[in-house]
Amino acid sequence: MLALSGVAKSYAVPGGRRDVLAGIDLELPAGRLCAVTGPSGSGKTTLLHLAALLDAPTRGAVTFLGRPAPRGGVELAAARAEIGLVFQRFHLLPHRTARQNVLFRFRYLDAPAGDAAALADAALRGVGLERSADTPARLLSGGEMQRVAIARALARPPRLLLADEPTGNLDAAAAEQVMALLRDCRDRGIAVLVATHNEAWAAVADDHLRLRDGRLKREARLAGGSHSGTGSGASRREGDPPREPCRATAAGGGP
Amino acid sequence: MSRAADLRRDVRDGLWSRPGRTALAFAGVALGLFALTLTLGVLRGVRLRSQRLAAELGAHAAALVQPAAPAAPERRLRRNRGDVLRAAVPGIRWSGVRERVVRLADRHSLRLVRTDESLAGVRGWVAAEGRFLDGADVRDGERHAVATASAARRLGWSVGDAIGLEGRVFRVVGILAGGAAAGDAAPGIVSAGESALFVPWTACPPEAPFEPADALDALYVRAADEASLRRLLEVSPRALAAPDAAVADASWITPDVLLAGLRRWRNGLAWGTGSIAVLALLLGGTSLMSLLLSDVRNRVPEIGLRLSLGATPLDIAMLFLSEAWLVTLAAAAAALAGAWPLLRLLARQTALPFDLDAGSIAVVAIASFAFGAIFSFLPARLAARTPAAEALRND
Repeated sequence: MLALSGVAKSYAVPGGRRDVLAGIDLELPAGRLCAVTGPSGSGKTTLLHLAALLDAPTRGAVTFLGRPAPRGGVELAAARAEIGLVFQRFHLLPHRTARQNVLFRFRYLDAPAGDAAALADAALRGVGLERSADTPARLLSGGEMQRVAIARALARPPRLLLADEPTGNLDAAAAEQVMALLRDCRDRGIAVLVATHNEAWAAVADDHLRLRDGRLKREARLAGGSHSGTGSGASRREGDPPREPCRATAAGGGP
Repeated sequence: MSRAADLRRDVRDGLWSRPGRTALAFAGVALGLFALTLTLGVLRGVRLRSQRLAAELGAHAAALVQPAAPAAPERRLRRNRGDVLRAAVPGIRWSGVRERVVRLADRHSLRLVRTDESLAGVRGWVAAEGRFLDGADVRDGERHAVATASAARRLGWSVGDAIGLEGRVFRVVGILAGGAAAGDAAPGIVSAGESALFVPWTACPPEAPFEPADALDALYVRAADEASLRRLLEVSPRALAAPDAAVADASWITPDVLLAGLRRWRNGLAWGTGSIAVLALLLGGTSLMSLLLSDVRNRVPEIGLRLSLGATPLDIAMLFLSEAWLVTLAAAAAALAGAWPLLRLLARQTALPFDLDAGSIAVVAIASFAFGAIFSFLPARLAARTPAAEALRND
């Protein structure tokens, strides 16, 4: 689904350059929920932006759906449209209603208006917000906004779902709702990559990777590629084949 | 929802979120386009008036006018000067007029023109009813009169009517077809469109005591072609310098002379309204660009969101171009809606020529479109080049 190979990213800062990512190898298969944790400024958001094809690596290669990430133009826009993004700050259009925000997912897609509306309503139902569909986004609570953002990302089922601190602004109950939604996505065969500070939440993901000093390290308990018994196993459908684990290595050394 | 409807909503959201700046940009652009519309209205009005003036004077025609009687009576413009000119350039036709404004019993006034039977032919006029004066009228000093359509309409005259004029009774024998409107007549040139009455020059006493009966205010000349007219204008100074044909303080009015005067007037007005248009458009354009730049800055996260949803840089640029076009096209509509009735009113209330046609409206619409594109180019480019990742970090 998504593969990052030897990906490095640095930014120009006053007095030189700052290396944020220093050689990331990551393969995320379909139907896998992978959590990336790390301290603030460790490069989690940068990693997500690279995975979302919103940024280009300084070095290395990003492969999406088996093809090298397009560099620009319509191909890049089309590839981005296959990816669902959930932002920590939601990025909703405040004057538009919840339904209009979800419909915005189709703004640059060739979807018939009727289909888009039906999908948007279904997505809102999926996050339990059908009653707030006509409420302007600015009047929603933080949890509701985050659920609208998730509904927007899922209204057109993405191949890859990326979430940046999806529970960062939420209380415990709302965070649990969001986590359940992400697990449900994983169960529907969507590759999910979540950047989070929440160690407890990361512990219940299929894979828990830690980003430190620009490098990814797999948490020891997942080294065999097994699933957390409390998270994915509970939501796995009976009879589903075991999923391929997420593979992550730091350049110049194994996990 | 269709793409067009999506774009409409996007544009509306963008502009409605900053109503003050949007209104300022709209007002500036609308003022500039209003001044541009006025300029175009003046230019077209003058062009039409030029055409009407040239048509009114007649093809290959010119007028030798002597606005005031000279100090030396022997240098007065008289009917025999027409023969002098015809001798210099054979083939030309001429007619002389002497005119004054007369007040009628019912307090109406009109231009009384003493002339000869050749005037209608020289000026290219035709009678709508009856006939023009003929040779017998002039030879016998018949008290026959020909009215312009304007005078006949205003005073209720028709062919066969008897009218009292300065103690004499004249019979209307013809009514001229309408010519150029009174406002379109050149100074010193009698027009078939104004309120006038033509009588044989032999049927009325001279305008001033001791003035010769055949004294003229203007001598109209029509040549067979343009070359003959040019030759007449070349040789006339020499022909009219002879001791027995001298004319003082007379000047030729030709289509070129008429148009040169109009051009000066047009240039002055066009520079005035044009300068206002340019200044207002620059002000409006600056406001528009400022609005859009602020819009781009405020919507950076939204730009990032759009890019993440599959928008291309062209889509992002079009968003801001469309906002600019909405403002400028709305401003163009407002400018036209304001300028149209004003130009109509000015044209009706003043003698100044104003006119607005579909071509001028198209020019204003195209100008507003181009103006929107020019002043939104920089903000649209800035928006289109916004890196998606940076945009999404910007909050």
